[in-house]
Amino acid sequence: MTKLKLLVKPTHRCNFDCVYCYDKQFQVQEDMTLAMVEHIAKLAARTKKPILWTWHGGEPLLMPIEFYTAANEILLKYGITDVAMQSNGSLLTEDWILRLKEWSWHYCISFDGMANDLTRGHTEEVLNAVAMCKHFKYYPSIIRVVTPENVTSLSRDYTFFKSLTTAFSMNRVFRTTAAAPLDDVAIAIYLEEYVRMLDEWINDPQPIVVRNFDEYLEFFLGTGNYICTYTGVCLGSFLSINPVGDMYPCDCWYPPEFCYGNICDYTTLEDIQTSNVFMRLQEIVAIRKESCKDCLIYAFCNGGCNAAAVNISGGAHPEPLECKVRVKEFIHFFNTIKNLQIEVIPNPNLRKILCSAGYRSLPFLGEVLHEGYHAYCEANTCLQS
Amino acid sequence: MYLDSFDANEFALFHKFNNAHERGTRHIDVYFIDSAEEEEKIRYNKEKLTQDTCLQLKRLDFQESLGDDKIKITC
Repeated sequence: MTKLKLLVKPTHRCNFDCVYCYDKQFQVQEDMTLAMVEHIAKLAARTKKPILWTWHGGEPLLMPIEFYTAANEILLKYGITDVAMQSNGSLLTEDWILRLKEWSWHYCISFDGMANDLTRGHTEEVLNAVAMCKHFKYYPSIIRVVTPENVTSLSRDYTFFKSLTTAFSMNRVFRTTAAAPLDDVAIAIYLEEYVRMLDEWINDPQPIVVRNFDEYLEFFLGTGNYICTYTGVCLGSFLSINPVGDMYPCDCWYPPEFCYGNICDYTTLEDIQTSNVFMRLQEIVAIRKESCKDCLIYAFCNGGCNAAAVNISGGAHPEPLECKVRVKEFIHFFNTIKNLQIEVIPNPNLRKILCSAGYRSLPFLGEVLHEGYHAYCEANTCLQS
Repeated sequence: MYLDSFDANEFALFHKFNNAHERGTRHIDVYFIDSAEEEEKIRYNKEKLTQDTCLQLKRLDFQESLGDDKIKITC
């Protein structure tokens, strides 16, 4: 069953001033109360879906440790055990690490790698925090935002992150009035870096997890859910709740008219799906999907990120720069994995994923289908479904 | 670089036979391969995957619709 992913923002305050931050646009000054945590947990527990509760922000570690100690008790009371925190890492202390470990919360640091100073700053503090985590055998994952400023170091960051973490993912910068997207020049560099990094990952005998690659594999092999942006069902699967209880479709920036209202006015989270805003969003998604349905990667992308589309076109059309990147990424990934010979792949994680999925390369399928291979794929229209 | 060359038929074929959702509950029991020297495991895996691919083909009932002259399935 699909999880309901709650992105709970206990504060919008932050000790960073990242160049691409869209959270700064929210003007809420208050922090979340424990009564609000309890109300959210109570409604979450009433849903039939499994819950992933992620503390988000602002910087969530600006809230006192006592807040989370009490919040953890509340979450446990309502049976919510799948908990994560997305943080900038700079405020992590030994005490925090021990608590997060004790509570089994997954911790994820936003960190932009070798060029971190260009976009986020506080590099030394974050690296010290990562080293401290390692000392306590607590392994946060990393999210790296790709921007025009830092795109050139993307593939080198793969090697850099290997010394820091066991898993990372990369997000292209979310376009808002506060942040410039990757332009054509940056997209060309990004794609070169992407190709280089994928090649390095496949040939790495001691790799780390690159979530973006795993998620592509999951699509091509049909083994699981993949990137939120591309599921086509993010509406209803994500819910962002700000410190005072106002709810939005996800943590990415949505204009105020897309607020679902305040959680205190709801008795169940399912009621959101009958709200006017939700139904309007569904209509927007349907229009966009219709405009995208002839695209060669529609089956993968499903019309792309709803928040990005809302910001660029009101939602009726996808973010065009993202489309350029996605199509090329998709084609390259497919062309890279279609002819693999498992036994000679240096990356053991990739070998394992392919073996577990019962991977069949195109040469293998050609052998099984023999000379009818081309006739077969061309003649069967249902293959296109 | 593969950034521009895309064959939609290749993709359709690949996705059809690598799609775990479509295989449903059919489990493919294969070995994890650690190196090219594990010839016996590689041969075993290939045999299992061939059997499963053939089973999928038969269930899809495409062979009959095309006729034996167009499709020569090696199993």
